[in-house]
Amino acid sequence: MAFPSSGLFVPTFVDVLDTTQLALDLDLETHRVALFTNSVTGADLTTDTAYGVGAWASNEVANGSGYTTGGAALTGTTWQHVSGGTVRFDATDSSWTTASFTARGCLIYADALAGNNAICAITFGADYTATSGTFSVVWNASGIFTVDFVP
Amino acid sequence: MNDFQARIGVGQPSRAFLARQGTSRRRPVVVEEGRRAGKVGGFHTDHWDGRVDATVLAPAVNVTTTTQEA
Repeated sequence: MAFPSSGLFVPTFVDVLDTTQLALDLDLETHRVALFTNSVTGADLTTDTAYGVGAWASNEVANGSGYTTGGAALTGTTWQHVSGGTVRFDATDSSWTTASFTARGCLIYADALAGNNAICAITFGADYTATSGTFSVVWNASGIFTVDFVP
Repeated sequence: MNDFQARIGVGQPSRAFLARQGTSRRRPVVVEEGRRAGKVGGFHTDHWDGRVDATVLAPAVNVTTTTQEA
């Protein structure tokens, strides 16, 4: 039982590129970032599909104390070709005020899709606890994730 | 740890300097697992009034491709 390593959810990106043609738009402002504890059990980014399903159906930070289950909207999202073969997914930093909770990682998912398809999971590598303060996730200067399409 | 030690905060960060209004102190959080283990992955900020902020410096996921020779 532990939050998994960071990565992209394979089933989602398979569905985007195969005959399913999942309409994942990374520029949308409706994606959400949900916080989870380190009690997540059995998560597997190669098979897990969505927020609220399987390992991601429990062990989210509890509702209340500055957090609303389902997570916060991921705003300022961009999916841009930055240089060479690299495309970057980025967003405005996420934060929760008057927060009193502990989280170990987050799940970004497509709330606009009926399936709440999971996009990526990011482990924080340690528990972070806010007490009547602000819980902030500062996205990396390299973005939330990058894909280098040209080796 | 006995009750007295727990009550006086043995093992907890010293808050003596935080008695002054408006002060705060930043404590680094060390990554416990994975390739970043041992590195600072963010910080907690203790405020004089008891509030604690948590700031995660999130790692990026970088997907790379390679070519396979025939």
